[in-house]
Amino acid sequence: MKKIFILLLLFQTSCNLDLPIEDEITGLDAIDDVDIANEALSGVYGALPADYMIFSKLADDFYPNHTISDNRSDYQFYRWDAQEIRFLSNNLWTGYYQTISRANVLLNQIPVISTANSQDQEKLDFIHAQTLCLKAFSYFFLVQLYGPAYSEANREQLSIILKDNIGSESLPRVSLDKAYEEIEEMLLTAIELFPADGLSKFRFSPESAKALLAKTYLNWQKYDSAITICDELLSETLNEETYQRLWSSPALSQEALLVFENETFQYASIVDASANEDEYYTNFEIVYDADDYRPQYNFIEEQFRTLSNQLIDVFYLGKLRQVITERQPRPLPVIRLAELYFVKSEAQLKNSDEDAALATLNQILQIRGADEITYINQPFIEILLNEKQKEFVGEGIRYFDLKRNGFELERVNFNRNEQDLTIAADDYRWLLPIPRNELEQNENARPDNPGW
Amino acid sequence: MYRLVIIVLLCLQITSLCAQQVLVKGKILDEQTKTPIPGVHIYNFSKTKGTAADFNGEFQVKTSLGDTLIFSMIGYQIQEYIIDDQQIEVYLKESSLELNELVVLAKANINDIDLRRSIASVSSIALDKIRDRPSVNIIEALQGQEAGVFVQSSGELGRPLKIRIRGTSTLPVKVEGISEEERALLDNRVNQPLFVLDGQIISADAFATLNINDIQEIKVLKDAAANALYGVKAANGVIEITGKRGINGKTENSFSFQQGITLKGQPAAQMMNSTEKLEFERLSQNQGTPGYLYSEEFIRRNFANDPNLEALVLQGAQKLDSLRQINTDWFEELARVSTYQSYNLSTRGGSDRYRFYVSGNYTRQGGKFDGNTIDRYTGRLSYEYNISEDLHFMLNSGFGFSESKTPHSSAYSPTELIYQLNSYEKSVDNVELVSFPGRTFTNLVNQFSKNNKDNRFNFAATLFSRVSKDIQLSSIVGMDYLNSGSLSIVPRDAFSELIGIPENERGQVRKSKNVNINFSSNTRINFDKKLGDHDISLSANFDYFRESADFIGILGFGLPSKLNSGAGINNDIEGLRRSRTSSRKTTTAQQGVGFSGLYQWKEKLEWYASYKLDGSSLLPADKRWNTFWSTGFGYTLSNENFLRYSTLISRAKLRVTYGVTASLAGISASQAVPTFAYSSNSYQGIREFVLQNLFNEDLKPEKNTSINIGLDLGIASKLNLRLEVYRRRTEEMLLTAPIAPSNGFTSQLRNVGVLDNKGIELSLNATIISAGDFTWSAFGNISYNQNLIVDLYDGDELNLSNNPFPDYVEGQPADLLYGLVDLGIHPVDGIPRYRRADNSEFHGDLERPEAEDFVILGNSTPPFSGGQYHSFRYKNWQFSFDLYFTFGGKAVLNNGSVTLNMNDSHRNAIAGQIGRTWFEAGDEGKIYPTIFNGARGNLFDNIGFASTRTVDRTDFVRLNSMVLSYSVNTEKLGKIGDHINMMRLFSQIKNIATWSAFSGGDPESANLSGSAQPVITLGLNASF
Repeated sequence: MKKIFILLLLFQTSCNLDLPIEDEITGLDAIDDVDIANEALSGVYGALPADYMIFSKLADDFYPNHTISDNRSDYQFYRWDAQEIRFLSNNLWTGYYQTISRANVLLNQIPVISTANSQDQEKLDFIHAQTLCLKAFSYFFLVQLYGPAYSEANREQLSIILKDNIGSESLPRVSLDKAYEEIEEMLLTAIELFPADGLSKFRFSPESAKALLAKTYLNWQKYDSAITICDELLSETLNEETYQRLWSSPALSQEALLVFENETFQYASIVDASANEDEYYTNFEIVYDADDYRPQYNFIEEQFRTLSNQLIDVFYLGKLRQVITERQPRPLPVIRLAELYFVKSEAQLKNSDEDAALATLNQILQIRGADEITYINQPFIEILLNEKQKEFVGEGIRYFDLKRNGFELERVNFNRNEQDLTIAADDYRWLLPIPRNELEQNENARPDNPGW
Repeated sequence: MYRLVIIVLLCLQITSLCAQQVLVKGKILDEQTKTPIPGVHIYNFSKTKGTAADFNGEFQVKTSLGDTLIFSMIGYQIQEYIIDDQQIEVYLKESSLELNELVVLAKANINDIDLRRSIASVSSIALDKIRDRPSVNIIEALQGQEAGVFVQSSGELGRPLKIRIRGTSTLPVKVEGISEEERALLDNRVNQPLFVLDGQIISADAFATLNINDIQEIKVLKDAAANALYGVKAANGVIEITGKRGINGKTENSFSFQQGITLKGQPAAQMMNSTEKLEFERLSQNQGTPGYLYSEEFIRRNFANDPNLEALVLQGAQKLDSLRQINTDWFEELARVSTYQSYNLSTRGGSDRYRFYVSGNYTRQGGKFDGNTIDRYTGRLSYEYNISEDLHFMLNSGFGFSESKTPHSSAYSPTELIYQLNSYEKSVDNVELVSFPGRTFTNLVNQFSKNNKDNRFNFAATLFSRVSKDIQLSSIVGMDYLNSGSLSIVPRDAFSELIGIPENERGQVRKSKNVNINFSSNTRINFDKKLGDHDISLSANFDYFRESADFIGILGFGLPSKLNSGAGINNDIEGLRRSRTSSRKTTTAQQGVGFSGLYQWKEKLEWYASYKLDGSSLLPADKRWNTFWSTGFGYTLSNENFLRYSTLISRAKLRVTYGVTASLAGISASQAVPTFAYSSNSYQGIREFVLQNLFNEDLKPEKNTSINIGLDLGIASKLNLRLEVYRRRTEEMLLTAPIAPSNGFTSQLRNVGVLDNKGIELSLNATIISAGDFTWSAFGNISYNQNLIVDLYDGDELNLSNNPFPDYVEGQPADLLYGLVDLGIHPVDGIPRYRRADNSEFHGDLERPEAEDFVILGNSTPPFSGGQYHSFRYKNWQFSFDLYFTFGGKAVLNNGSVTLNMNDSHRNAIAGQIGRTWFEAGDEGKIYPTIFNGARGNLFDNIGFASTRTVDRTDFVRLNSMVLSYSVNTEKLGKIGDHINMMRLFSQIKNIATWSAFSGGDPESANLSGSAQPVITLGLNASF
């Protein structure tokens, strides 16, 4: 009997409290080699908010139709309802800072990862460069959303929070200038780190980093720098074939500079899945020239029955789908070479060189089979942005163009698509509100953007 | 001769007189505490028949005067009693190490030691009160049975129940972005008590599936003095369950069955009928509804130039007429009358050497909706063996298999459809519904099915030994195994699978298996010594507990036409619908060492103290160890000379305890140290490796300090009263609190503050009338609990939900409802007006409330709750009923069925809404705002806040159950009767009625889906 108890006691004293967690790895030093750094990098790509359709809805790429009536919140979103914009702001802020935080975990660890040979070091540099680009990309979106359009007058205005450490901090928002400086610095560092070859369009590359830098310079009013970079990159020849391939397999098209792998159907937010219909068709004012080859890829033409029982011809968004019942996710082109023509043209225009701007614009129009513009009967910037909308309809670009250039925006009602609401150029909602939980938990982030 | 005959006759008569059966009534009480002991086994030696005492220690037996009854109960010395009267009182003595054989002392739960019992707050729940109740979840049956034990159901069958002992120890979780059910589970994890079955720790899920017929006793441990023995796991109180065991005597077989029907109950809200709904649609001018589309005004406006205008108007009117003829009662249509059945077989017996108890049970409960059932099989085996006079071995094991089926979609649950479908719609499959555009009724049902299986097995071996006259050594090793699996299927022909999905990818299977293994061991040494007036008990223990969870899940798509199972997954699909697996395994362990001691002087004064040191694997090695201690003092006034011989006061004892415990509930390793894991996603084929949580390196365990003052009073042998006053303070309260999202995470587990729970508990056991053949006994309890946030470390407010008002404020209770003062709907514009802090009024659409405009509307948790149980016995008949009540709580009325916008008028709305909604200028005294609020300002945000109009008292009294039973006089059954010890027929109704002024559905859950179903059953218990 005593033996039994001795056994029991022995058994109990051998109990151990140092239990490894089987599926998890503890300690920040868990990232200790190139392979695991690459896995951590997947996490950074994975965290990036990738729904650009929302910005097309906020801009005027689409008209809502009457099938949206049972989706009130989405219609309110289209109408720039403050509450819906708050929701959007919460999601974006949280999503981009999650991306930044994952990038920071990796960036803090990269200096201490030891590499065995130069091949490993090159891989690590590539990871480093991509991480910097992803962080810069996040800042770039944040600054466009939360800061005002850049000008000499408001360069000191508050924009975003720059975050480098892991751990809970209460950091203040920095000035617009400071944010752009940070983005520039990261991108320049990254461009140096990229390896020379073996690159995939599914990852950041020197080209996509430069394109992002060009867009940054345009926003930051450093037009000469923007033009220089655009010139560096605008050497590929684009044509109908490259445009077609852009939508079917973008990674193989010269048009795409950066493509994101995509697990969700990109157009889910304009489709009412239960009723199987699109709640938006494209803006009737987006019209192409007869020889322009883009409409057949950009649009799906169908008939639509209005509330007053008329059948009308409408154009649903094509691009990542061929029929409107298609729900398959496709890789998503995020930075396109064609955009650089517009960036360059806008930079030239703002550098007061309208002739050069027109020439640049005509280059891309020519590529697309559209008629060249010879006669200017309205401010050139309007022509430029309308042409840009034709190219990028549904890709979320226009919202930022309108904001940068201080344009007002019209909203239509879903019954008759009549314009009944105008978002003024100086409307407070062009600057997203800082999320309430940020303001609440971080007093240094206060005050909120004006008007909210 | 004549004389002789007379003498013989007389003798005969005398003998027949002697042998005449009488009904003996009695009550069994603890000798020391003078409290009734429920469930004592009573054995009639001369008739070799047994019975048991009821919840109030009362029993009645048919026997002859002069017969001997034997009373036995675990933890008490066996008592023989020769019947000398028809009314008897029997006092049982607690067993002690010095006097008794080990077999009498052996308790399955070796932590259940007497020394803590006399001072700490430990009370047992008399299970006889709830044994007849048809229920598959024992937690549900505990509601109202014990002061300080608060049980709340969320209304829906199968949803997690909330069980708390003396309030919540930490602030309710308010993390955003999780479902109500997940929130409830999170909340449960940090606030629910520890469950211990026969000395071995089991999960709350395992406890819920135990069969009540296999349980001998449930004890509730409430204060630190009682909990400290269990250490770090027990900060929220402990529920100790003792299973049934064998007896020393003739083998007793029991059989019971219960069968009945589950009624539909009542819908929680009355919805509009067709006439009212169509009129409402016309008024709301929603073109998606027939009420407007076929209305004369719509036709005249839109077809003004049509040559057949009048014909169209007529057609419209006819159409509306025909719709008015349809009046589908969706509650009747969707709810089902179902069945309940339960069978139970057990046998127990033994000898001096060994004892055994074996049982098996099958229960099936049908839910309110078609195909929704829970099936459960349970079994228990208890075996004891006396190896020698000083060594006793015990084995307890049990199993439970349960399966619950939910054949309906979670997105379109019938509970909700009842309140959404229009009464002019029908359950035919080829007509598109107005309430769900694009769908037919068939597209709403059978879209999803879920099947949960829980297989539980537990096993514990206990060894007792008497090392010397004063020292007892005991040890338990136990394991609890829970294998739960679920399979949910979206069939290939479900509506959601049809559009945009290639044919070979349709259908969805989600299958998961989770294996939980708890391993616990505990070794304890007890020492007892009596030296004159001094009584000393000491105890020391060493325990270890390891818990591991192993999860594996698969998600796949593309079911073939004939197979609805995991095997049907099409593994060739790529992209979004590719198959996914997930797996997770965690193991945590705790070990501790404890000491406790009791000193007693003249059975009058007692002093108790305990100390425990516990370590947990959850925290890094340097912060792993926590200490717990408690001390208590008891004074038994009734043992003083001035009360000793009092006939009125049989017992009076004052108890005071103070103690400190700690809690790690809710901490997982990734919250304290940086932890990475692979997610199920990848980018370009490379898996994502991500940081799990924003770790908090300063995390500390919660510290609980409790003070308990108790008074036990026994009056004659009729009334027992227990009064307790307590304060429970939680310091270093753990809460998943939001952090600034710019940190990359939105929440972090932090120590946020100090919370107090104060309360008073009163419980009564009384024999109110015991006269002749009639006995009325009753049990009642009432408890009051109120919490208060004493301190918040980070400022004096905590805002978690991004509301304009704080969630938690220093100096206020933790469960306050904040809201606006509603000044009513303005008759001119149909927009509500609210009151500002400065008593001015503000417009409900154009303006927003400021933080100071919110007022406190009440407490969401009712501070008062309690229960009552009454039993009336007349001859062989017994009638009992059970009441449960709560007072002082408030809840927000669920607006779910009120249509607040014209675009929502395609779904049904609550009856009478037309009269209460503002439609045009001049509508006075309305309570719902205009539904024409398309270009909206702040109206919806403002309506979304609670207000004086939308908050109502949740006070309610519910008649939980009524039981009528008849004990069959087995003597009258002739020969068969000789073999039957006891036979009892009963009939009961559960969930009979709720009295409440609450206007938002079920007052307990404050929602529409929670309407309790009445269950009517007939049953039979017999032992032979």
